[in-house]
Amino acid sequence: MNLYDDSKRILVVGEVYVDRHLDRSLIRLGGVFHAARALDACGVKYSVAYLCPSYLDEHCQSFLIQLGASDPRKTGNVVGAPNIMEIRDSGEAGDQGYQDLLCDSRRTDLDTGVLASHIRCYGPTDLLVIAGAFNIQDVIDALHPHIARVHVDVDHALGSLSQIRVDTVFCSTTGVPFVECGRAPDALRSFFHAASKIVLKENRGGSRAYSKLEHEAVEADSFPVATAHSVGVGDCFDATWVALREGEPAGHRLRRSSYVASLYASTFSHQEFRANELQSRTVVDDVVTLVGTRIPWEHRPSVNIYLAAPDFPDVNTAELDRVELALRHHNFSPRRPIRENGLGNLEMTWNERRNLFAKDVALLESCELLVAVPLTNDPGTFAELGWFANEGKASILYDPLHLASNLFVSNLARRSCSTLVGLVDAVFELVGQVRRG
Amino acid sequence: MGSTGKNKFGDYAPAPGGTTKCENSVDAELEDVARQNYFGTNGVPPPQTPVRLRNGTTSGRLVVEDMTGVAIGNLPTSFHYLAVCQGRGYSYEGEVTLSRASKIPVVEVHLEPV
Repeated sequence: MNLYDDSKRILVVGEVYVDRHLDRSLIRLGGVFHAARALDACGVKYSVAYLCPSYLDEHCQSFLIQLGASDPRKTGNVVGAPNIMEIRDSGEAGDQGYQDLLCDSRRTDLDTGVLASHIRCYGPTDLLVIAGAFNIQDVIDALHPHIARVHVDVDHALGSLSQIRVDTVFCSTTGVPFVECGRAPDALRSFFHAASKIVLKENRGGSRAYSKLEHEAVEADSFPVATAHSVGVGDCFDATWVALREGEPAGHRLRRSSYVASLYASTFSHQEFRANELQSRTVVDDVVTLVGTRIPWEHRPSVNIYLAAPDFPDVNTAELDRVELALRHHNFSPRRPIRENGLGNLEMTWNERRNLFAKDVALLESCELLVAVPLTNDPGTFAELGWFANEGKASILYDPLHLASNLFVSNLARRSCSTLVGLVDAVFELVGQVRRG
Repeated sequence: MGSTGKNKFGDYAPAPGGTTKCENSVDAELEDVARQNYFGTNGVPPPQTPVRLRNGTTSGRLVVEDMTGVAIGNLPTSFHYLAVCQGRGYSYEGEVTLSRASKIPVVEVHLEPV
C-alpha cells in the first residue's frame, strides 16, 4: 500500500523567499519551495499558489515545474522588499540569525480572485498555507464554496490566529505563537482552540500532536543526522504530514514526517534528498519502529550540562558564551561552575579550597552531560572531563581551536566535534541516549 | 570597483562526486554492549573479530553481530540512515577495532559496504 494518499491534491499557498546562506556561500529558493521539494520527493499531486517579488517570476515558474508542481500560479505580488532571507547559522546550533531584508517596508498583494480561480481549476483536497505577510483568513475565504482540509504553518504568521478554524495548525518551538504562549506546549491547545489538530515540532528533540478529541498528546522521536541545515525543515515536515494517508495513526504520521524532515536536513542537494526519501519507502516498517531521540521541550531545563572550561577573567570566553547560548536556545540548562561557585585562588585557606572543590564535584554529580571546551591547555578542564568519563557518564569534547592533542583527552569523551552544529547534534543524541537508559 | 556574487540558485547541484552516504565506511562505538548476548557469553570480542550489520532493525535499533548472528551491540542512532541503505541493497561487514572490558564495556567497529 502506498504510504502517501494518491487521491489527495495538495495546494501549497505562501510566499517565495531567496534563502542566502551566509555560512555556506549558497543561495536557494525558499519559502514555499521547501514544501514543494518535500512533495516532489513524496511523489504526490500538488500545485503551488505563490506570492513573490516580480524579479523572481521566471525562476519560480521554472523551478516549480522542475519540482513536479502542477500548474503553479502566482497569486500575489510582493513589493517594497526583495524577500531575501539572510541566514547566519544554517544548522541552527543556536538562534539562526534570520535577517529578512527590508521586511518593514514589505507589502504583499494577495489576489484572492486569482487564488479562488486557481482553487476552482485545481480542485485541491488539502490546502497547506505557509503563513507570511498576508491574511490567512483571506486564503481560507477564497476556498468558498470549495471544500478542502486546511492546514496552516503559523510560525511566521502575523496578527491574531487563535480563532482560525482549520484542520491542522503546525508550529515549532522557535515560532512566534509558541513564544506568545509562554513557551508552554500545553498552552497551545487553548490558544488554537478552533483547530482540530495542533502539531508542535521540537527541533532535534521530537514532535507531538494534540487532537481536539483526545486528552493526551501523541509524541514521536526525531531521527538524528549530521545536520547540513535546519532551513525549511519544518515546512518539509508539514508537507509530509499532509501528504500521508488520513487514516494513518498520528504517531506514525509524526514519525514518518520527522524522518523525511531529517533526510531534508541532512543535505542541500535536492537530488540526494529525493533519492533518500524514495529509498526510505522500502523500509517503512523499520522507520516506524526506529529508536530516535525524544526530549520534550519542557523537560529540557532539567537536563544539566556541565561546561568544563577555563572560564577565567583573563581568557577570551566568547566561544564558551556561544555554547551556553546555543544550549539555552534549545532550552537545556548549561552550568558554568566558576560562575556559580567561584574561582579558586592561592590566597584561600585550605578549608575554603576544599569547600569549593566539594561544590564543583556536587555540580558535576548533578549533571547528566559534560561538554569540555578547551579554550587553553587548562588542566582543570581535562581533569573534570576525566572525572566525568570515569563515572561512566556521557561527555563531549568541543574543540574548535584544536587544542586537545593529548592522547587521553582526545579519547576520553564519548563524542568529539569542532563545530557548534556538531556539538548541538551530539548533545541531543547523547541526552536522548541517557534518557532511554 | 566591481562586484562579485552568486549567479545561480544552488538547489540542483548533485551530491559531490555522485556518491551517497551508503558507500561510505562506518566507524562507531557500539551502545548497550553489556546487554547483548555476545557479552553475556563471551565478554567483549577481541580486536579483529569479524562482524557484520544485521539486516533490518531489532527493537528499533541497527545491530552489529558476529558472523554467526550473535548480537554484539547497537549502532548509535545517528547511523539510522544505514537502514535506508540496506533497503537499497547495501550490506556492511568489517571487524572490531577496539574493545575493553571495563565498568562499561567498550566495543568499536569498522564497517565497509560489501
